[in-house]
Amino acid sequence: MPALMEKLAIGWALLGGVLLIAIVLVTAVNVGAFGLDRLAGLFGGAVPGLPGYEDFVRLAISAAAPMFFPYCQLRRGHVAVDIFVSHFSLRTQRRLDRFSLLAIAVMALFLTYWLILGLGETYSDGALSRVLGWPEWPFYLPGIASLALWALVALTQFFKADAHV
Amino acid sequence: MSELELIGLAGLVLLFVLLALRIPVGLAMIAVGIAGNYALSLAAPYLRFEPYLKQFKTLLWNGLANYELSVVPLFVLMGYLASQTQLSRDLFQGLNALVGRLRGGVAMAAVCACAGFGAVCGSSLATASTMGRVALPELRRMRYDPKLATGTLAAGGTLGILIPPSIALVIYAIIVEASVIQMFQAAILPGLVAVAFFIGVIALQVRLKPELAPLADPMEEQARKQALIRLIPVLVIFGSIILGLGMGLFTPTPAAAVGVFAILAYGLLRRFQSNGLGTESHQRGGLTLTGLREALLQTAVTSGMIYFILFGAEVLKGFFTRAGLPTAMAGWAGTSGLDPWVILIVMLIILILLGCFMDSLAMILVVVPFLWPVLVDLNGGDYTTAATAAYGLDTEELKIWFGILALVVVELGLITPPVGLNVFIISSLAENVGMRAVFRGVMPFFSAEIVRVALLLSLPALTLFMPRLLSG
Amino acid sequence: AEETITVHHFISPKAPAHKSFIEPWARRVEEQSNGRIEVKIFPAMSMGGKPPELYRQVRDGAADVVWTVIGYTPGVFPRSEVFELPTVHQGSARATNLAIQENFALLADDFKDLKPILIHAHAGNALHLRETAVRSVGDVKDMKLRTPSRTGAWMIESWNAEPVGMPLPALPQALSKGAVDGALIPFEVVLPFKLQELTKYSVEGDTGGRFGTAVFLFAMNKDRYKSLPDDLKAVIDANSGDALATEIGELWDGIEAPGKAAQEKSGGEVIKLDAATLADFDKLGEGVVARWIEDADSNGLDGQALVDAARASVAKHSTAK
Ligand code: NA
Ligand code: NA
Repeated sequence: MPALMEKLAIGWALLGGVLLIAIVLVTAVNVGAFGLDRLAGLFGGAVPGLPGYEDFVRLAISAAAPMFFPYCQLRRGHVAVDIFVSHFSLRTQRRLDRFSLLAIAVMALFLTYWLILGLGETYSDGALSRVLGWPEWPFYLPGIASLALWALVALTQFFKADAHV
Repeated sequence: MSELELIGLAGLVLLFVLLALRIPVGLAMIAVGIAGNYALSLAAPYLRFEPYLKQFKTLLWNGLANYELSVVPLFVLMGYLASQTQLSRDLFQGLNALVGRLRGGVAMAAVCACAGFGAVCGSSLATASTMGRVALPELRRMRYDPKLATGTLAAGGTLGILIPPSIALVIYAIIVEASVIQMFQAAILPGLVAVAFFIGVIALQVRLKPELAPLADPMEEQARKQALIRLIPVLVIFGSIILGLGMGLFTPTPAAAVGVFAILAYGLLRRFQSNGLGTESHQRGGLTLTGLREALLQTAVTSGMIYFILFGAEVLKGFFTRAGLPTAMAGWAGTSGLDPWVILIVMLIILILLGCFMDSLAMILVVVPFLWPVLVDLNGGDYTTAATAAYGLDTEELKIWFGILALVVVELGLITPPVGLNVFIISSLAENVGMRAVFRGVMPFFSAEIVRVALLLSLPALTLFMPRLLSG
Repeated sequence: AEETITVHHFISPKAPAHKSFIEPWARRVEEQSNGRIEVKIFPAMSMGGKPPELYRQVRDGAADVVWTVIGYTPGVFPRSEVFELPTVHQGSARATNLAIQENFALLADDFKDLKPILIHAHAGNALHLRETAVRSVGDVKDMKLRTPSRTGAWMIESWNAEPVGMPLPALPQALSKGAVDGALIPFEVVLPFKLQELTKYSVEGDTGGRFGTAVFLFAMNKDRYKSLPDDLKAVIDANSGDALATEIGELWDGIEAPGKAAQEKSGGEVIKLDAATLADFDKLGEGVVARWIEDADSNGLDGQALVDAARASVAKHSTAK
């Protein structure tokens, strides 16, 4: 179970990374067109950029960013302040740690629940992006999956920590 | 003080308690935000709690779907890619070939490489760990004093946050609604001053105690030439990102994306070239599939961490502003009768102290929304003119100047005893050099930093010169 | 006070919309209720969230009243969008406000979950240009222009130019660095963003004609309204709709003048397109309207009927001043 969870979180984060690279490539095309446009301008011509570039970036990042949460949890990457707790006994530290993990899982599930409602509402409102006119609701899906996976990763860590005590 | 403001203050205290108990920063912010809003709804029924909760339907998604913030993961990716493609190594070795033969030259090359790497990396911790990995072995090989070597890198790492691009500056700019590009422009001179000071500190130390830094043997001509040749593409890539951003040829997101693209392209080219030449494996540069995967995963950790804190800060803000706390604080500061300069210095001291144990981004997100309205009020309000303002700057320039000051003292926290994150990192990279030794090595640099803060504080023109020149 | 009503909006407390519209509205409601209603204003998103979330906040009751732009959430107010369209809006906020009031029944479904207080428009988009003058439709070809809305993007496309979407605060930088060649915005925002220093030309019709507008929503949570005793409901009603449309229209028409003056004082030019040139733009605007009708029809609305009603009504109120 933990091994599968790890693979899932890694794969999911890499998928998010691929989305980032997609933003990079789209930008390169856009900036290239902008440069060509400046150049062509000298000779009276014009090369169009990609309409709705910002829209695309906004939507792509809204999908990619939450995909990083589960892997960040897997690597215990979410920052916390260490120095006070390090004076406590190991037992207390472990308890605090388990409490955090459980609280993270609860929070992630809480957000998943509301995001699902948000998806439904965005769908029924028919909300569209500004320039491209793409519907916004499908872009809630990666976030919902990410937060659910985040909760699962935190819960796995919670039970694993249990085995250690 | 009103009941709501009291609840706000209690929330602030609770936040620090949760943080001290090692609750992840983002989680602590969300918990205090929600609990605080519940308390507010009890005290003031018109701030209804259930409808407040319904905001979570869209709060997260709308926070993530932000074009301006998209620059953050891109800058993060740029830094990790530069490290994975060994651009960082090429940079250090090239600089070393230039100045390594001077006494203390390898350490000076390391400082310059930190600054250069800072130009593709938005974070101090990433700069310290990347350049530590690259330069520490070389410094050890040259038998540099371990305290000097580690101190140089711990201090040099702080340049990552100031030399543009900087994630902390992007976030500061979004909070106070400043132009990201003007913030970057403003950071250039203070960053260069830091480089000059650090080099000066090294020069002074090796002049007083030459045994700290043995003179290096001349490099083999062939190797030296190769290192210098490799420096060229690196300087072109880093230089064009800095110039593109500084001159405003690109807005930040395209600049970051183009930077990633350039480094990807360079990494693949370099890979292809090394394969073709059949160079020995340890000399191989370029980007491998494993390297790309590693860079993407590191980006996931750092970006996930940042986005979580950003979301937490958004939830927290919805609590503090409803409680009326920032406005109240501005009011108290205004009626305290203290000199505006005294209040500013107190603010900077608070930032240094908090910086000793708090993450720099979390600090900017939690503290700046309180400090900034206070400063604007003290300065004479939003529409004050430079001539009548308490700090002699209009609001736009105050934004820029305070942002740079705040960032410099936040980064100072990374090397301030007893806890400095950069010192942790360097000490863990350097075997057999303990934290205490690294702190001793960092002290001369720390003193130089204090001088620099005083300089920036007394000479706002130093910070404002570049934005005035470039943005009119 | 007996009832506390919260008002949440996105703009700075120094902006005319806050100082000359929302503040006075709040004080009037308080006065007319003899202090039984207290209105607390939260400007600049200080109740949390991003501007596109405002309409949800009021629908859910997180805020009792919000003021927002329907263009922040394309697709959500499909009927009211008709008043944004070029050739429908004619360059007077007053006329368009009155037309909205007159045809409110046609739009009502957009706001069925809300208690609308006032749906209104700004004076209209003028074209503000960084370096190159626009004196004919041909001049605008291939320019990169900041669009205020979805229909604004269509209009820019119809000019063979390129729409760029960006938040207003990002505009000054984009203009100063040439990331865009110009922007479609009313003169009202010229001063607060110092656009007179970043643009050399501003373009409108010689009789004040504009390139479409933006539609604003000032609305109350439905249940909150219903929860008020009848005499307090009456106070809200007395400060809604018809009672406000003319006044707020004239307010928005009036805040155009300082922006225009600033452009001229900075050495820039306010280009006034003659009727013939404006007709060229309008011909392309017709295409945008046709595209909008098609889009509306595909969503089950009667686009043509909305356009016809809106046009006739705006025209009527434009002449009868
Ligand atoms: Na940097
Ligand atoms: Na001008």
